[in-house]
Amino acid sequence: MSRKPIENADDLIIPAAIKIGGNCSRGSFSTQDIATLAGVSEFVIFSRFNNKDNLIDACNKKIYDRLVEIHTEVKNKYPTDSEKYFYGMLDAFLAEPEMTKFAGNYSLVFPRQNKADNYKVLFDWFNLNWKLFSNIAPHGTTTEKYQVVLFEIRELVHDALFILTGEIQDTPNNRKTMYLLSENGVQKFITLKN
Amino acid sequence: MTDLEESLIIATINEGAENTANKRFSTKNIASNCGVSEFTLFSIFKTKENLVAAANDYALQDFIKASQKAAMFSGDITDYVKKMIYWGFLKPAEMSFLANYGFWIGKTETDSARIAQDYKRSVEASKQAFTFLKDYDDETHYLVWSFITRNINYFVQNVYCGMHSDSLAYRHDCAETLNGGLETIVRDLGENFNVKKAN
Repeated sequence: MSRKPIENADDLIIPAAIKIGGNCSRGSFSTQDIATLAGVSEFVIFSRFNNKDNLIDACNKKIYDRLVEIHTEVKNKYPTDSEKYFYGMLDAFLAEPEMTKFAGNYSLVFPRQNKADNYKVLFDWFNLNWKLFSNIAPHGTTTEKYQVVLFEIRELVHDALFILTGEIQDTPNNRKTMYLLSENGVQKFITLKN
Repeated sequence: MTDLEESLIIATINEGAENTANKRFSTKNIASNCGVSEFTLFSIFKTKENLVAAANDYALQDFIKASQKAAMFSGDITDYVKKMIYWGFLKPAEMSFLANYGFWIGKTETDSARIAQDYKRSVEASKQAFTFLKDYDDETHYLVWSFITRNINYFVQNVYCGMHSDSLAYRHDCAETLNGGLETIVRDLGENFNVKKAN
């Protein structure tokens, strides 16, 4: 007798993986814990994704799709105000802590995979949507635009994580510092004395 | 720090630098590379978290010394950043380890005492490394320290992981980005765009 496939198994597994993966130190999540949270067996997870790498890829794609939605909403709200756009994105990242924490551990925007192919995948996703990011990166080649968008997203994820972990308080002054660093760099904060 | 502690920390940096997305690094390999048992490793560091924290501190101490030296011999921030990027390229294992475990990456620590301790340590590190920072409150210090450290780390790591090829122009662009932020990059790209359009 064949097993009856679980409907929408991915919709159960991926959110559970994002939650577990974001709340364990990088590289240490357990598929057993994901299975328990999703209400499926580990067998179902491996029959759907084969291995942990594929599961992480699927979570990253889900988060990328959500990022595009968030970005579109915030951009429509603040089409020409980069500061308000930055705070709007920060609010959105803070409103979805599990997604943000998972991104902190596994997002391909961070260069730590030692595999150029991984970045090609992310580049291809952006390449489908780069016009959406014209408020951040209006000019340049697609590769240059990609680098600009990556820089902005990395900054937002880091800043949101600092607030989520409680290291930095969510105050107007700290938000302003985060925005200024991202938008204007360190030049406003530093004076070489020699 | 004893010679054995230092050897274990260096072995941890090398092992952690090789860590891929879904693999825990092996304390067995670290101990074995130093010719001791895992029991000895854990009798010194107690937990893997302590070992990672010690390795992080060790890599950052190196960064702090390099930063102080670079600031002393730099005329402006772009020059300082270039020096630090050049330094980063001389330290592949430390850079990869920091990209995997640096204090700025995603954290799962929930113990507020430990978070406060890590934060305090980072602020102290910032004050040592960035003698050229203006007088700011601790949180601003922390944010600037993290911004500079992680971006230098990522600029170097972008090359190691194949996202970018290294060149003088790349290093210059990195320094400009850190100094001037997104505004500078977008402005420069816009100017190039307008030049091409005019031609």
